[in-house]
Amino acid sequence: MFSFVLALRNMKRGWIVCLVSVISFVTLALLLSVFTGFVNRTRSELDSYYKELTVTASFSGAKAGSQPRVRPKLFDAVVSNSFVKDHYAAMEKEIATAQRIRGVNSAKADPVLEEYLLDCKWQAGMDETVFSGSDTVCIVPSACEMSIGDKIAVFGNAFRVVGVYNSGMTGNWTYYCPLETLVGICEKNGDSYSYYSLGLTLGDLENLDVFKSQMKELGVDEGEATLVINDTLFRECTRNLKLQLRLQRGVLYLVYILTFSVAFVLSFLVFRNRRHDVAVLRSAGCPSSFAFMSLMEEACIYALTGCGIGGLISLAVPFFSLNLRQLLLLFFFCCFGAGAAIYRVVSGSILQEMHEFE
Amino acid sequence: MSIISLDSVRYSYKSKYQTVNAVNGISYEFEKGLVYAIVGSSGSGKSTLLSLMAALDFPAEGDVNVDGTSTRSMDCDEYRRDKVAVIYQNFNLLAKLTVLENVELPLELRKTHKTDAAATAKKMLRNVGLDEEYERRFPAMLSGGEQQRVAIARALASGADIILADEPTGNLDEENTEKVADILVSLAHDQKKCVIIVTHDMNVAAKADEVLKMQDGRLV
Repeated sequence: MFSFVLALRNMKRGWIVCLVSVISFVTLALLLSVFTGFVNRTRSELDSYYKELTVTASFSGAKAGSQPRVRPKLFDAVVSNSFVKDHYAAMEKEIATAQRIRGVNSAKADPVLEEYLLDCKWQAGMDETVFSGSDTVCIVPSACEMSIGDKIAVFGNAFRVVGVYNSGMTGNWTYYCPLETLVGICEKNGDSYSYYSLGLTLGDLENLDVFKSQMKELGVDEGEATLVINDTLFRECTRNLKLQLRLQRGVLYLVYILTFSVAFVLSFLVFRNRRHDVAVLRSAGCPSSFAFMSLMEEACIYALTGCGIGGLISLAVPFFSLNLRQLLLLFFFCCFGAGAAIYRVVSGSILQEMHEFE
Repeated sequence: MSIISLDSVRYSYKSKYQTVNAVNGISYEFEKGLVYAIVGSSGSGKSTLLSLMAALDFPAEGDVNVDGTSTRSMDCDEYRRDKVAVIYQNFNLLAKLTVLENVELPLELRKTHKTDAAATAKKMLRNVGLDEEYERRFPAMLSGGEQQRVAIARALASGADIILADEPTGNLDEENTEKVADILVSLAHDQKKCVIIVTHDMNVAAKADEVLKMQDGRLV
């Protein structure tokens, strides 16, 4: 307790040193805070790009002009990948000559269908979301002269007509049904099938290169389909920010070194000048551990106050940013510098110190 | 019976250019109730001998015994806190403590209750002729003589049986020298302390019960 009283007296009566120390530590905390703020701001800007920008990918034919053929095994591996947030796909089966059925899980999977849907008559309460389900329903071209509610037999299954679109073509009929329904029928019948369209919406864009390497491992470019990732715009947008972030992080490390070194040296210098006080205390029978404690308490109060005020300012000013770990590190280096100086002062010869001050 | 005895004490230290044999085989016994003056030219080893008696360092050879126990084998912090008080030529007061707090220091280190410590310190300040108005002052606000009296009050407050004074009047004028010397003599004669004064001043030495002369680290 007396050591603490001594420390408080020293602070109160050596208030200039106290004030200078605290202001210095506040300044160091703020310096750290400003540079961390720069990094965090750039980081959050980049994160918002990662969140807001979307990157799509799609499979195209291995040869120019050809349709891709994505086998079910590859399809499953691709769509179950953690980077794939959403996908659309389409497959096709021949029913008879000039009659085929296409399974889609979204109108986007088939550009022709998108056009057809602009002029499609739907059963009441039905719309294109029907494709994302698994009902045995389909839409048919008006040329086949069927009406809503009619049924068509496809591979032994009765598909109910829920929409009629105007294709403008006669004699070549394409029915559209939910993808899941058609895949289920093919699997049940043991028919082979492949997807002629597969598009992906990708997430976790920060690690897009990982996705690419994973796709390479799956051999997406070796078969009858090639994966095209539309990330040019995304790369353009993030390149400069990434570079800026790398630069700022480099500077932040330098600021760490500078701040912690200054904290160490400053504390060391403040407490190095206490040799005489310590010698007097020890000549009066004060144990060296007591003298060490008293000065360390003083040093800790300076560091705690400085880092605390710096931390509070950082919280209050929006642009500043300082986390607890950085504050603790700064506090540690302030105390470490003081501790090193105090240890040197306390472990010196009393006789020598007393004579030096004569 | 002696309170402090020197047994073939030797001490040397390395200066920049050579090894100095500051104390060269001194044996002597000091008793309570007497004032000893150690005189000698500068560099004769007087202050070093006093420091060894204060257990600020240990002899290279021989022993400094206090009540029959060597300073080597005792708890030196406890010894400096309870049994010995040192008065220095440059006072060695703590600049950031008031006069009262400086005098309270040895008592606070002994964990004496704050109220008792303050009462004792005030009493000691009165004993050396410093009244209440000095209590809240800082050492820098006092004259040399006043600072030395504070240092003496601090030594008195410790209640130590051994008072070691290293050139206590070195920085004082004639009037203050006389006052300080008288206080030290009365400490030995009235309170039965063992007072050992290192001095150049032959007037101060003349007040001592025994005068020891040192030359080249030896008593002559």
